[in-house]
Amino acid sequence: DPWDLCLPMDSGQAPRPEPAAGGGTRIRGREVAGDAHRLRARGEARIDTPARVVEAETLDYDRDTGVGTAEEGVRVSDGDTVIEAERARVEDDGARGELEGVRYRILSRHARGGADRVFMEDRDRYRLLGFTYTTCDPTAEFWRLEGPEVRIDMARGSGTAYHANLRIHGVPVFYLPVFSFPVDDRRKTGFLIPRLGSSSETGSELAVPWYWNIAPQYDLTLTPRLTSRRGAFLGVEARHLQRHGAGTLEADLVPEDRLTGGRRWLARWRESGRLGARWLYDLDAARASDTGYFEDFGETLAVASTTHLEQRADLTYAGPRWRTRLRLQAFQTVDGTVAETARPYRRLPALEVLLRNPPRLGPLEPGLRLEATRFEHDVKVEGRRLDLLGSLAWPLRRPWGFVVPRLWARHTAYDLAGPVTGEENPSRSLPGFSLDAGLVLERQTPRFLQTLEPRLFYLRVPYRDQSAIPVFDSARLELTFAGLFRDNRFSGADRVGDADQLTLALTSRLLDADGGRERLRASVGQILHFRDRRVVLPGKAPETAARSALVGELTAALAGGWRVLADARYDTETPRTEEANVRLQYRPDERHILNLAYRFEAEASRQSDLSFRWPLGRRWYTVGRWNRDLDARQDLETFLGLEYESCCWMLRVVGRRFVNDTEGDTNTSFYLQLVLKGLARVGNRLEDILGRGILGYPDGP
Amino acid sequence: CGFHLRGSMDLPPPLARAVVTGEAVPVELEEALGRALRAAGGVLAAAPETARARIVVLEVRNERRVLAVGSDGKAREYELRYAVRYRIDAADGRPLLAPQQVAVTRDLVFDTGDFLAKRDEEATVHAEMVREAAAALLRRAAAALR
Repeated sequence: DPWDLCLPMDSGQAPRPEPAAGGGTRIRGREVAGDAHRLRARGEARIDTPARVVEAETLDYDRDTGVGTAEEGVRVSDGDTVIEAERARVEDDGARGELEGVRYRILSRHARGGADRVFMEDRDRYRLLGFTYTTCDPTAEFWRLEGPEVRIDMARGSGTAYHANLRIHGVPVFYLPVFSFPVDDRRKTGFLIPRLGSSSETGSELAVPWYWNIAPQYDLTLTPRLTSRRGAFLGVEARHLQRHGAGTLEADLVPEDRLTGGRRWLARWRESGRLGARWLYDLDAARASDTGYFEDFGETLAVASTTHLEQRADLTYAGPRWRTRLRLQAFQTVDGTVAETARPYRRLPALEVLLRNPPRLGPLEPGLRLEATRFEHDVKVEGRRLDLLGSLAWPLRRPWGFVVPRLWARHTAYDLAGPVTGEENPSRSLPGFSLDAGLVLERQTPRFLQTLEPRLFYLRVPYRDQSAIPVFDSARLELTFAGLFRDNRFSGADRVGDADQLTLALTSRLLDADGGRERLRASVGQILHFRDRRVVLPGKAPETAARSALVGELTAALAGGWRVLADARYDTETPRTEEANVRLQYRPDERHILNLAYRFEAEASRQSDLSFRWPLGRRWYTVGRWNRDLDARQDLETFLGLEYESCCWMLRVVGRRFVNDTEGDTNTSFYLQLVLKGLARVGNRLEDILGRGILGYPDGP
Repeated sequence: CGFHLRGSMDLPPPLARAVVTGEAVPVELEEALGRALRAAGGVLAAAPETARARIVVLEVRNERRVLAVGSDGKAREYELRYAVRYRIDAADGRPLLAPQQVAVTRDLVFDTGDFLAKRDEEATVHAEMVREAAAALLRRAAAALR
């Protein structure tokens, strides 16, 4: 609850209307007098209309016009919005009215304030003249919005203030000619609170976002931004949300970068949805003006570390039996250190047809997949590739285990163009066989059901010389636990690994006796090779080891808020650890987070990563991250900050440094963010940085 | 040591003929659930009317976050997370299982020189994660409904 630290707002003072049966108006009081046309009530008098209840010392009600007037100690309430006034006049069954000398409270929004006059325009809309607005406790009013006019629409959850001043501790901080703020999470057309900030790449900056709520399903945010070092920016975000799909267009444009000269920009367009029941589309296309864009403007480590931008469009037909996908895919390399020959191929286009719901042929299960792709590249061999894979499996499954023998055949044909050195139309055909078998053993303990699941996987694929085939999209797959059960040690279709191998694996799980939730899973496995693997990628030597590394995985969600995630690859022949990863999280409740990670990769890197958000008392938190490369003795990202939270505002102060380019240069920044709860944020968007750096960091209020 | 072969992992009767519904259920999740159901001896009902239970997919989250950067500031390893929030209703709409979530996490080492192959590896790992999430979903549902 964002209002945890506030004094309770007394909901007992927000009476709900109790209109007469049938929805009519009811008038009560210690003394009620009048005739068929007029009524007057005195002493704890109240008029209950369908929309609102009006309480006062003196009430007059005109039965002919439905107009009620109240004086002395007037209170108008609909159960959520409570308005105290010197004088009030309500009409139209309480739906409309006018009040003078007002103090108001909106309980559900924890908001309150005052106004010279209030016009109730209907059940949900109010117009306040000479208003103030705050979500703070009366005893500690940190901020207040004030001005000559504001319109509040409870149904749309928005407020729009005209010529408003934002005062902090009584000092006017911003003048806002037209300012929209959320009375709840929805936004309304208008200027949002300006953002002030500074970073070592862009200098100090001022951004003034303007939000346009074009229609319920469309909106647009334009953010002009002035920076001291690089000049003016324009940020654009357009969104639409419809029944069939949704899309976003984001762009950042620097018409003239004062530091490097020239126009610089980044744009990303995403669309996805359905056309009818069976057609799906998915588009994700990003492009930047130049390769240095992310190093210069990537505000977070995650963004600055981007190496490629993808442009991809997929059209999928998901039929009852077949799935067909047409894909167009290209990339922009935004890492200047990637050589031209190492840049990815474009797939223009790639067509995939897959038997998604195979028919049963007695006990047999067929499988079929076809892929036709045209590969384009600026400097390398180009070509077309057809890849066909057919399989027949005979699955036998019982609750206590399974055996799945599977036979497959694969044919791949090429039509090459460009600087071809060998054959122009190489092709490759080969069969393969696998046998997958497993048992499930169980043991019941008082709290858990423990399983023990041994599994065997035998794979046999004959050798075919594939050295004449170029490499469009193949790479050696990383060996993980799941990778012990794959048909091919290469990704893509350009290499099919020869194999005569047996995988031995064991998994054990602890499942909650009630509900079956997995508390712990531990797996270990290894591949035994019965012959050398001669199929390799260009420039690589055959693999001769008789055993693969031993691969293990562990995940556990323990009592007391501990979570463990670990995996390791251990070469039993050398012997040495090739790779290891341990992640620990301690999160006993919403307020405490501590993450500790260690990652090791032989001959590549050793890293430690510590991050936390830890309360220092009820209102203070400390946040931080320390991600270090232990071999290079370099801090990759460090930040440390403080957060203060009170009833109606939060302040975050963070100092941060991260590596942002290939020379190991760092970007040092200092961030200050003030959150006025229920109104706006002032300063940089810090949630992204904290959310990416600290696993489990809660979304901003 | 007390272990014995699993006697019955028979699906509880409602799950033996289930249907997958929800707004915008990813095709591959639907396929993986169908496969997991068949492997457990059930069937995916062709139409909601003939199903005895509805697996209602409420939300699918597909997250990818940088886990480690190299000393050059470029991404070296990603964490992929696939989470499915679901609930299970009886054919008449009565809730059988309150909303809950299964999540699968995997790490993926990246290599800028093999970008396309690594994208495909990510797709392979993603498909494995979907299958694992579907199996975990069914296992949990079966345990909770038994």
